[in-house]
Amino acid sequence: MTSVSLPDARRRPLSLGRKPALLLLAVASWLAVTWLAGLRQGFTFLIGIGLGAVLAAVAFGFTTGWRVWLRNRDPTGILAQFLAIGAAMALSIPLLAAHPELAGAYGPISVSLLVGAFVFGAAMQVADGCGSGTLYKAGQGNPVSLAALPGFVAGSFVGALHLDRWLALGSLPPVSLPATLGALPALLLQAAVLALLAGWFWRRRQATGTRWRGRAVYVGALLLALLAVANLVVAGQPWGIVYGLGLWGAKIAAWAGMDLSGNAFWGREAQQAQIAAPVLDDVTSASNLGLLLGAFVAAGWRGTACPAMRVTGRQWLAASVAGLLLGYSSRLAFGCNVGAYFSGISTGSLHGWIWFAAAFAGSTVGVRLRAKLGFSG
Amino acid sequence: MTQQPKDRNAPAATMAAIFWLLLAAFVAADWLRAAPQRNRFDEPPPLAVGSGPAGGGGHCAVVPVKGR
Repeated sequence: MTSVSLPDARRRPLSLGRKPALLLLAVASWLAVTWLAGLRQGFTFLIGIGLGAVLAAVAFGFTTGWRVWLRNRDPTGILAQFLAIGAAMALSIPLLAAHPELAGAYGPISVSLLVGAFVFGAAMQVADGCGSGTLYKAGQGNPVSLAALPGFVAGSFVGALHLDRWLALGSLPPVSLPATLGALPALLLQAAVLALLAGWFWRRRQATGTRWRGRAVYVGALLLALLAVANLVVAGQPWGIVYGLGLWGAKIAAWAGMDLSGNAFWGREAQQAQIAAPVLDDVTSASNLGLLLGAFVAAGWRGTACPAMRVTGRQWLAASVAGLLLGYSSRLAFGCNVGAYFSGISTGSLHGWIWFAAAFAGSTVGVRLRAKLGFSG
Repeated sequence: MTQQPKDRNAPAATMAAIFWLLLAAFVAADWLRAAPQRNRFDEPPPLAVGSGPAGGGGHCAVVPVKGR
């Protein structure tokens, strides 16, 4: 009797390749969210996956973009941010003018905005991540961002809890530039300011390509803009991050027996309903969860997930405290780099511009603090 | 002689695995707690644009109610 050996392929255990498995995970998660929470939430989750994948794929960094300017006078990251904001603005402002059912990111002009944005700008340099940066790097398995994220959640919750007391220090109502000047004048004015700022940074450059080379970061910026506009069309509100993280904190606090019904922020009818409803019903949470997964998939695809890092005890502590400050300060500032800077400016809110100025000033302090704490990069 | 700070290799994969487990547990526990009160037939239309006034959701720019 002769023995017959099977071909190699038949003897191999059944296994799915890494990339198909990652795609399957993304599609299955999207279908699960759609099945559980409905089409709108499913689409929002899918947009979040796209945002996370783009951010991770081109290492798009709001924090790093500012840092490479402050350290090397390399404007690439800042120019990519302006391109993303400008492209999103060119579509969002006309959409908002034509569709009153859509809402912009209009925050008040307040003392808390100045304080919050300044502190956020400093803390984001220490944690090496802003709102979107902390989320996408946590999705990639970056230990510093993973250490910062729980504090970010707690800080966002507590910041919203204290927001009325901060507003009592002084505030003016939100200013929507399209409502004040008209959609087209506001669009042209903001485009002119972005172009002037871009020209100012470009003329003072001392280097390019120290962090990003080639066109990828600009392609990424345009993709982010399209996805942010898709978020506005699907969710009815601009892309945001911090509110969702605070809601997760509020839910945990409510589970622990904390009564939030008397609070000026979490006691609002809409917020009470969201604390009681599944987290998948909240559009900001759905896009946040999608963003985490998209970054995980992109990092797994490129084989860059879970980077090995040497982190000292002092750096762990600094990352955790910075996370807490990021969350708290971004609630005082009515958003982080996404909700206030990106979405605020791209929907014509004056508070977005003020956020940019105050956070940039904070980053100049944060970059020095980062060097003192011994963080690299 | 100055003492060097104690370096620790970040156990990134373990931290990431714990993170994803905790996140999945949070979403699942939240769903099990809140879903029974949920009306499947009251879901919003797929797109907010063109679907009438949006419900009072949450965004980073939301302000607290005065006078509480």
